[in-house]
Amino acid sequence: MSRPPTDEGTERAGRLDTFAALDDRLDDLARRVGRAVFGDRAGLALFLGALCFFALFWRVETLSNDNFANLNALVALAEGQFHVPGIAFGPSSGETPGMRYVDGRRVADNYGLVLLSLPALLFLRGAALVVDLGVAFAALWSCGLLAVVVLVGGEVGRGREAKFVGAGVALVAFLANLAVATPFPTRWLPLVALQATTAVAAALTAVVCYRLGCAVADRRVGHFAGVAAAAATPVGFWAVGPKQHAVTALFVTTALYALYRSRGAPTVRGETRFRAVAYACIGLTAWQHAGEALLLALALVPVDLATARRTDIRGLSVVAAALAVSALPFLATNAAVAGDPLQPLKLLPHYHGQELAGVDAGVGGTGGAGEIGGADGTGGGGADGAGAGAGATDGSNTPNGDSASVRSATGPLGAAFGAFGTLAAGLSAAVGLVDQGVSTVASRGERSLAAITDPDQVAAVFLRSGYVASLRTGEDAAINLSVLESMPLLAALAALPAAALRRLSRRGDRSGAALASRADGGVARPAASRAAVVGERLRASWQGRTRRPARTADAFAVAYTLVLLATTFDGLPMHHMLTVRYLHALYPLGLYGVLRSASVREAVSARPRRLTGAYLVAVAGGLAWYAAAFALLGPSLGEAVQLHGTVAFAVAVAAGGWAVLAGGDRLDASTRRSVGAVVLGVAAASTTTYLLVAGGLFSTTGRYLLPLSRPLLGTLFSVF
Amino acid sequence: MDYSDASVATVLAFLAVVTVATGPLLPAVGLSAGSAHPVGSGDAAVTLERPPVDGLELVRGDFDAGTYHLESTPGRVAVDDVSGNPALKLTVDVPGIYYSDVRTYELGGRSGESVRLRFPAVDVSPEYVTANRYDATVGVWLRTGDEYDQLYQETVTVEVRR
Repeated sequence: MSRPPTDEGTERAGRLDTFAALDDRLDDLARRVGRAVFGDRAGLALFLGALCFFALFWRVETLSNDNFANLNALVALAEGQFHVPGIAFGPSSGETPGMRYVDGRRVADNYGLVLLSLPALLFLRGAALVVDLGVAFAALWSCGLLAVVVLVGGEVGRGREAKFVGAGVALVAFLANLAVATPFPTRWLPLVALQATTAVAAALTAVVCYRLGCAVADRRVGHFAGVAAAAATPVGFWAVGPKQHAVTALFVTTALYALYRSRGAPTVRGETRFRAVAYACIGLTAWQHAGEALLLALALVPVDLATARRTDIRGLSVVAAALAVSALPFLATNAAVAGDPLQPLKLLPHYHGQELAGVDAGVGGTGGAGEIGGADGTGGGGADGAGAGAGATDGSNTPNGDSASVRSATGPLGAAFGAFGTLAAGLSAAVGLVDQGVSTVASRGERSLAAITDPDQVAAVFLRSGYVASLRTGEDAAINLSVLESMPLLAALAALPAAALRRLSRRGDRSGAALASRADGGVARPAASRAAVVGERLRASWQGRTRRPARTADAFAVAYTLVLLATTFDGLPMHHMLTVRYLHALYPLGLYGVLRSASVREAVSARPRRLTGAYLVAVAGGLAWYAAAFALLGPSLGEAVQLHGTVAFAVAVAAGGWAVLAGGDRLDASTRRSVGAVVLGVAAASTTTYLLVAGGLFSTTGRYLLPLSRPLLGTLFSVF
Repeated sequence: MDYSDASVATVLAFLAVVTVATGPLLPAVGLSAGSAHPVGSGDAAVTLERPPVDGLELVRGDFDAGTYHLESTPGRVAVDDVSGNPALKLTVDVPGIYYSDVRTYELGGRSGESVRLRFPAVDVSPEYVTANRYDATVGVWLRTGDEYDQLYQETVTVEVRR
């Protein structure tokens, strides 16, 4: 016999139902976020796999003196202040690239990266109280490997076996790391936090490339694109280099993907949603680097407006709102650091040892903030004269009491006028800033246009690096690779013009045949009618083509490349570019171009096993070859880099040769696919090998995230 | 029971337990405290068998690297009776090309071994290398705590190989 439910029982059951509903909702939310970010389980596997791969060559050391400003800013931020009163890393003077000066304070110039890294630093500091981080990183890596094996096993329908294999691999990897583990120096946690941010950005770039590959062709091409982005492009190199390159590449690639998907969306609403994502990338890029955001805008906005299905007020207001919201972190950070939301931090004066307000006060570190407040007030709105608009905005807001009395005296209408005036001044300053940026782009464009006609300069940047005599003495070590040496896979782009020429030639043949048939008895149309028909066809062709997702994405990729080259090329080659890092975002865009080649897609889809086999054999052979070469030759750093440059260039020439023949339809289908799979696999392996070799090559201290990396990479490939 | 799930759960549990057990909460375990001695601490008996000055040359890099670096027959030091983590220091100073460098070899756990001494292959700009030979001061030192024992120090001639 059942008892009637008591009030208490009913209440408890109701509470449980609420928790269950909340749990379901959270599950649903997690699934939605996971699907939005990774797409599917393969995307998640790729993300984790990319992170595990980066961890193999994750050096816990600075790559250049540019890193010190961000490191010191992160340490200061963890103590609750935007300015940098003390120097924890680098020269004690704090005079390093990226360190700026405003209102008597030292500040860094990329708080986007620094703020994104703050949670990681706090988490790591907390974890260090409980666990030995050397062991914890090894355990995390093993968990990542296990997850990747299980996810991949599930994808290929071998989930049960994959769990056994994954557990075994994870256990062996962990024990191997444990055998050589040493205490992890917690002093370097800020660096690890910055690197964690760039590594996540790089892994997400690989995920975006995977999804782009799926959209362009199919899942197999998507898998190729994702793995290639992580392991066969310099994206992997800068995954552990704590600079903004990885983050910028992520946003540029995301903008490309969003643009592609927007044009393929079945409804205007769907298109607008993806367009909003693309525009949001501009604001988020600005948070890292305002100049790079301007370049993205210069490429994205014209291409989008020229090809969007609808450019009415409603659609534009949505993308404008997305842009405005995405710019909020940039504006808020500028306001907090420089006191002016429209003051990009990169345009602040460099810090050259100027007098510090906090130091003058001299009483303790924490008193600095108060002093700085005083300095702000007395220092006046002059603040570098960054723009009249900015000064006006400050002026209207500074004396709070006065503002309030004015408002009460003039009523709500006056307040509205005041707000409108402030908004107008802000907009005017923003327009001035963009105008200044566009002028800079234009003037640099002129210089770049002149530089791009110099074949030696073009060859040194794009083809073969070697020793560059024009670099400053002492900064001329040949440690830089060219674009092609950094990513030999780009040579497959040669298939695109070859295929275009082939199509043109066929079209010419067909036109010739049509003319001949007309001459044989066809009826000639009057000239005016012919022109009208041609005009109509061109119009239809333009509308049809530009609205095709690939055409829009192509246009954006070309536009961004041209804009970036126009603003950068005149200064290249520079010292310490390593992988021509100033053009870093072009690598994932170039990968997209490679995917646009039908010959590449065909080889990837038709011969996946041959491609994978060629890749794995080439990586294993390449590592063994480099280890032998290092042992026999004992190269200097420059020699070792150029040794790779020579090999990579030869691989790229082979890949380019195949691409020209395949694109031009000079090979039969079977040869085209088989040779293509091998050539693409070896070209991808060339970069993978370099990423691993560079893990040892550029390490000066032998300090790695994974304990196992030191005896492997740090011994086999070290020159120091 | 599905053994595949159990194997995954067992490994994850093992990773978690070992990670926590080796952390600061249980200092007695300390699996990763292998080389806790600071570099240069402790002591060792070392014998310099050969300084790295035979065939010392400034060699122009291959593969179109363009810069110069030091090369010589590697030196050799016999190491014994190591306690802690003392350090060998190989120093080189070539004022004519504005170049000086130090290479450190940790000796912890290397009793009975022979350490090969090689100059760091640092790139020197060709703009600095204008003569055919330079004077270089090469030194080998043993650091034990705050003390440095000089094992070798000579000024030798470096030939330039272009």
